[in-house]
Amino acid sequence: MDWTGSVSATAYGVDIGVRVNDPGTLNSILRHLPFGWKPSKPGVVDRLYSVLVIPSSRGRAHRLLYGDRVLLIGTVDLEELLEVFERDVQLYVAEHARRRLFVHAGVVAWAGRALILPGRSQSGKTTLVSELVRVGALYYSDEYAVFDSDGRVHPFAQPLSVREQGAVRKKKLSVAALGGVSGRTSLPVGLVVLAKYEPGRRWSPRRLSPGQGVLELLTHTFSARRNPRAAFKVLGKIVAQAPVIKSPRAEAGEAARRIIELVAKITGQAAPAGRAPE
Amino acid sequence: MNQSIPKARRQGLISHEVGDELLVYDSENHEAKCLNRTAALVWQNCDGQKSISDLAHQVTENLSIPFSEDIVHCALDQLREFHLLEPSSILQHEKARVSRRELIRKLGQGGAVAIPLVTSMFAPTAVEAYD
Repeated sequence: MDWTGSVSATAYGVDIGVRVNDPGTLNSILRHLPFGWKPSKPGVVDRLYSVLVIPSSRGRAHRLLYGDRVLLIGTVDLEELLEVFERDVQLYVAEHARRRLFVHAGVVAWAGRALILPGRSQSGKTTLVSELVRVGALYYSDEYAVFDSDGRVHPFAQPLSVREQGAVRKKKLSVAALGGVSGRTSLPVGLVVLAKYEPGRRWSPRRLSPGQGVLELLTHTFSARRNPRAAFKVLGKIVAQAPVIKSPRAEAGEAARRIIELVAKITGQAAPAGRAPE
Repeated sequence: MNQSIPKARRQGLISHEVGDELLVYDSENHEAKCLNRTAALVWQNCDGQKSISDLAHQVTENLSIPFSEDIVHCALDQLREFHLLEPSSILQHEKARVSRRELIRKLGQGGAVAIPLVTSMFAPTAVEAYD
């Protein structure tokens, strides 16, 4: 195969390679590498992606995406291929990251403390994160909470993935478009909130024991099976520094207000309307 | 084996203390369990040497509650259910004589915190954690 373009990248200690037979595709791919990636020297990588573009005399070119030797998708739609690539590479990094623990969660900060909002896809994380940003919280992530070995959370401030009503595909939205700002430094965790969107349900938080909190967080941890010992260690530090509460939630606006009230109580900082105290 | 000498399973398990609770990860079925203080005390002392009576003394002294073998039976029943006892000792273990509900009634409000409790959740694959 005649590869005409390639890139080597590293993200959270994971080495990724991408090669293409169509140089035009490479620039699009680069925009979908994980947040915080850096170029690296070519060499042996942990995961190699190959994008093959097969021209067609009848119209749009056919594109194939391989992750190592496995075909991930074949499509004429570049956007669809990029979506599959982005999800796969993020999942791979989230599971294999070195010295970082990835939890599927939205993250914002208020008064110097991180609020962690774990949840599955389509559980309402992005909606709640957007609402918290609108009332003044700093944006850290709508998808991945990235913890170091001390249990501090680091920014993974990629654009928010918003699914508009009725739309199949998600739309990227910058935090600036919400009138918000991204956090830049690592923070200790102030509160973990397990709040699944359940229309019509009342906000009724109950505090979990630290052990129960770890179990809940573990069910959202990408490397839970690969390295449970490390996951227990980091999650144990998180629940030692922050309460874990669980509640159904209805509308995001009300939930955001309740969450800010809770974190304000914990930090001793009032919860005014508008931007959070720095 | 004596029918009253339970033994904890250790192989394939990873444990980690969080406060006074104990987390146990079972690498065989990828189930994570949380043992409250009482359940943890019973499990950690199931060394294949101590009788139910010995375990009851250990637990009740540690928790400063009146002597009760029922607490140990209740804990063992849950530990067996969650595959935390050696199968050989499970076969010999007597069924719990009282349910958790009865135990709560017996111990009263003050003793309720001493009721053994084991909970569990499955650890996800990376894809499951995302979906």
